[in-house]
Amino acid sequence: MSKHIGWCVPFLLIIMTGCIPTYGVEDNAIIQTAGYDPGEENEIQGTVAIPKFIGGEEKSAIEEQYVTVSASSIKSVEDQVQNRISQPVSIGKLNVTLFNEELAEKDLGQFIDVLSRDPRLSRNMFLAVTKGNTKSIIEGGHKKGETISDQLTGLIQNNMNNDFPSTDMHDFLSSYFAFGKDSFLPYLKLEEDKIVLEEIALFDKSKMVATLSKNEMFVFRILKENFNQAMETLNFKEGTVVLENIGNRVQYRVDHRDALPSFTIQLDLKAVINEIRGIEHTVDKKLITEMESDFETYYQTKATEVISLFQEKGIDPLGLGQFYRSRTRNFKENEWDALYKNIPISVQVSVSINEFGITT
Amino acid sequence: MSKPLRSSVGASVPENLQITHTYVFFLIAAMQIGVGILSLERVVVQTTGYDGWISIFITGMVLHVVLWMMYHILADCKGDIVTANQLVFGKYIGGILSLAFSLYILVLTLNVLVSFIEIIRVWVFPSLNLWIFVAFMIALIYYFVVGGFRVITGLCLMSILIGLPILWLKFFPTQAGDTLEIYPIITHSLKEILQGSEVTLFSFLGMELLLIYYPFIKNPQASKKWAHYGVFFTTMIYVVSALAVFIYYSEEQIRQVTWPTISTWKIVQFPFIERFEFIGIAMWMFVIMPNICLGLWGSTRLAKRVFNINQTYVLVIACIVLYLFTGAINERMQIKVLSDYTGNVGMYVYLYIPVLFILMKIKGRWRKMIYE
Repeated sequence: MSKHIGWCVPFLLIIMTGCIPTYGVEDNAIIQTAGYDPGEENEIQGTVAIPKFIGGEEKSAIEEQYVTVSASSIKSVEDQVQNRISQPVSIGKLNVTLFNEELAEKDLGQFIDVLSRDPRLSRNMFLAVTKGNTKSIIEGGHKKGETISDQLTGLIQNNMNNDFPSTDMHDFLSSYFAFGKDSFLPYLKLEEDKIVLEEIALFDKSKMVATLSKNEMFVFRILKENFNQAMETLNFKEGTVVLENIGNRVQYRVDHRDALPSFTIQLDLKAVINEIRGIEHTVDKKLITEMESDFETYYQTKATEVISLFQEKGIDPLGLGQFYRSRTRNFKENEWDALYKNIPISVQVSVSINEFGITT
Repeated sequence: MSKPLRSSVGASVPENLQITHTYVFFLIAAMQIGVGILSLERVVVQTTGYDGWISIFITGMVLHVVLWMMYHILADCKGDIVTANQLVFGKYIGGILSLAFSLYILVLTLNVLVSFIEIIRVWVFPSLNLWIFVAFMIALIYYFVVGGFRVITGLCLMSILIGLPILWLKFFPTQAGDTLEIYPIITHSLKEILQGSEVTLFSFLGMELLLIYYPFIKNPQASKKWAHYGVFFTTMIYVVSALAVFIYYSEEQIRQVTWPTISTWKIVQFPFIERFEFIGIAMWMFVIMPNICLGLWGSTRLAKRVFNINQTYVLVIACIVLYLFTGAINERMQIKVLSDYTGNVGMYVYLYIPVLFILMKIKGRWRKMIYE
């Protein structure tokens, strides 16, 4: 008997593989983007974008199908979408999930729970908050030859190489759950027919409480992490200067000798000047030093402004609480929240301008 | 083909069925690494927080001592656990203890199988037909076990070699995470850390099978160091794995994640494969296969040794029992109860080994005195 089992098992395993139904991409409704808006009476209005892949050689025209449904729970959005579509719906390739600002201001807790529970979803997915309806963004931002999902992921991805701090679903979840750290998300809006990413939505736990503007976003990023690409336009004397960051280094220090700890954020910024407008200038050492000291004061005030906004709102997107806890023994977690608002945080900036392009 | 299970009725094993001492490394490591590691980090965080890796390390170190004791017991009685139990407790009580040990290993095997099938059902095929799938798996397991101990040893070797590349995946979470969460080190009391060690023991279970396959080792004295390497290897894999996972998740977050290791595979993304965890779970089959096969072999071998009956018959019965229970236990809560139960019993087994060690030593001393 055992002699036959040796043959039977592999044989059966091979023929059993035929039992799983197979689908090609063309026969599947692959949801790539999903957006949630508040619907009527506590309902959720979900909008999904499903690209249609047209078989054959030319793949120039990609069509996209949008489905909007109202549902009482997050999961049933998927279910209701299926009721309106002829192909089987699959959400494994969901790349971007958008939340209406109103929902985010109320509470995203439930969405977070559902998104993190589903094994089919990727952790590299982007989450974002939108100004206005997600429906109008999903339907209105579409360009020919590019799906909305490609467009949104491209937008966020490329801005992460520029002045937007790195974000994805894992980053969001990890700071959402972490002690002494709050999360943030990209804040998208529709300008005419273009989707613009210029702001950051800041969260207190699962509630959105504030946004940072374009200028503050750059400051926020240099305060948060080391990176080496991004441009910023600054006022200098009567004109403007375009500063390009080519590598910054940020270090947190904490002094906990006193009962009230004090933080020092040391910021070193290496930059290149690309454009100077409206100033009569010859680039020499004097002008450079003048710029450097001018920008140092600018960043110092700006950073202090941003940080005091955080303290005022009681949010900690920089993760100072997490940092402080990692440096302190017998740290009392329940006292931290009250402490945080009054902690002195000083910022020391040093800007060094190294180069100014390929002409003198 | 069923010959390997029929011969060698006593504790002594003919040379053609024995294995080289080096393979003890693979036997120990492959049996320890199983489904435990997949949820190890979450379990340890619940008692010890992010000092959990210290708990894991301590458990590993303690196990070296237990291993040393096991080698002493086995060298003194020149046989396996059945001989040791008979020597110390007499024929009947010793036999009952050996059977209890056999039952415990069967439960351990059942636990591995059930937990792995749960993972398949949650992650890959929610609507899996349990009875058919388990039937196929058990047929495969039967096929391996009936091949005898040397086949299972080969399986252990394969499992380590195939399982090792999965460890590279630990690199991805360390890239995405932040080391801040681990500091400051040792914020928990000694008691909490030791409690953590207690719960991690579940992931280390499987080493005690040495008590059964010891007579199959050709040169037992030389195998000692390989057994210790095996335990050390497992400990290091667990510590590194825990650290990588701790870096990736924040402490509150990890409590929400049922299988932290599999969830970290989620960020691994290649152009040709969107969800790496499917591949990871499929590869994990190779890692748990020797667990089940060696467990089933050990459990039936003990029954054979106690009753002097043909192991193949016991194996068929054990397979049927395993089939029925695996099919019946299919809810998260039941599986959790089973794992907790197995972990507790495993604890007692590890407490039993030092007791046996001391009794063996006393007996030896006493006998020596009588002879003199």
